Amino acid sequence: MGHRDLIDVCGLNSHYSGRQVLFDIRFGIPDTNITVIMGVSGCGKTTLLRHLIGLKRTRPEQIMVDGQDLGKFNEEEMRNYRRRLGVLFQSGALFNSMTVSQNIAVPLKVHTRLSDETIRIMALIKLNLLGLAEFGAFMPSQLSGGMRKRAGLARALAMDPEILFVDEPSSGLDPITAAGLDRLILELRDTLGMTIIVVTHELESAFRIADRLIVMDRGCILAAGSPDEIRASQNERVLQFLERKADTAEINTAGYLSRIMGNEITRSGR
Amino acid sequence: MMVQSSPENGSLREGIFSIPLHGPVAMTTVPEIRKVLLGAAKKRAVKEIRIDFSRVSKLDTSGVAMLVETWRGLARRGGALRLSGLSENAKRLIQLARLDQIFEIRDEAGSRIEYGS
Repeated sequence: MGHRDLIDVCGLNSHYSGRQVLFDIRFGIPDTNITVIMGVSGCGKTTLLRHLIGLKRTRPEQIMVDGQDLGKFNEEEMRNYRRRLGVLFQSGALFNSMTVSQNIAVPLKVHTRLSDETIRIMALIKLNLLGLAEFGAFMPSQLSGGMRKRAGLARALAMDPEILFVDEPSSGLDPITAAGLDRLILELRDTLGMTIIVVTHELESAFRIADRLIVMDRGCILAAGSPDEIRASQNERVLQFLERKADTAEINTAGYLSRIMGNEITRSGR
Repeated sequence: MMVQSSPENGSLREGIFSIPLHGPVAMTTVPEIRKVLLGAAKKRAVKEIRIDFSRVSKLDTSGVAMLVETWRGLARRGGALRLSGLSENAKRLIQLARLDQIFEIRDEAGSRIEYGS
């Protein structure tokens, strides 16, 4: 309500090794909202995320950020854009040879002129925010999976990003820790006014945090809207996803037998 | 464009160093503002620092960290740090960092704001 689109995906196509994996993706990401991109594994959501954070090259006129064409960013513009972003990767992506506090300090030391003491206090604030105030001196290997995830989020927040991308926040977490992380994501939106994009296939988490949901399937957007609008969707694939119904396997028997027999099509293959 | 705070902005009267800040108090501006505040916090003549945030457009965690450093410098000598004119977002950020318990935050009328624990 009343939120402008900070990022506008306007006809994004993407390929890997000549194979198209995203097809004419179109949606807006409103500022200070939580947009959740969901869909089954392999539907293209991580590829979409890679385009949005500038890790995969985007052709011109396919993604606009604040009205600027991401596909036309030069190196400096891309660097400036990335400085506005925080990214929590699925793995947490912490440096294993550094303590948790040192991990959080890295982007601040690289990108700012702040004193070591200011950085130390900032790291403590972020750790406290994530419930890890006691663990700054720990190495990532000494933390549980849930704590590593939270430490990764603390590092993603190090630069006070305007836009936060979170890839599969709940994966590998127990339900209580996952719910805690969801609550924190909501708190970041409400308190810091962050624009947050979450990629997940966890339905419960998606509906808990989303202001807006994007449902993807096979490289396309199936549905987009508020959680209530998605729940009311009559699209078969959306319903199948929401009701967690398994796919009826579409097996190309002829193709399979052809391959196993050495490209010789069998008469019985269908 | 807003004018950044500089040492000339502050004034010392009867042990109270008052300084209005302008524009963003964020990673790009904090190194300069910090010099002014820590410099004032070290002076024996300064018993209290009052910072007016009413013209501050943004406060981020580097600004909050700077306030912690300033407060620490003053608290060692029994001094006080008073903040006024904070936006709702800035207040929320200070609360989120749980520092509303150590900073003295005043509302527009000058009354101290007490936060629930």
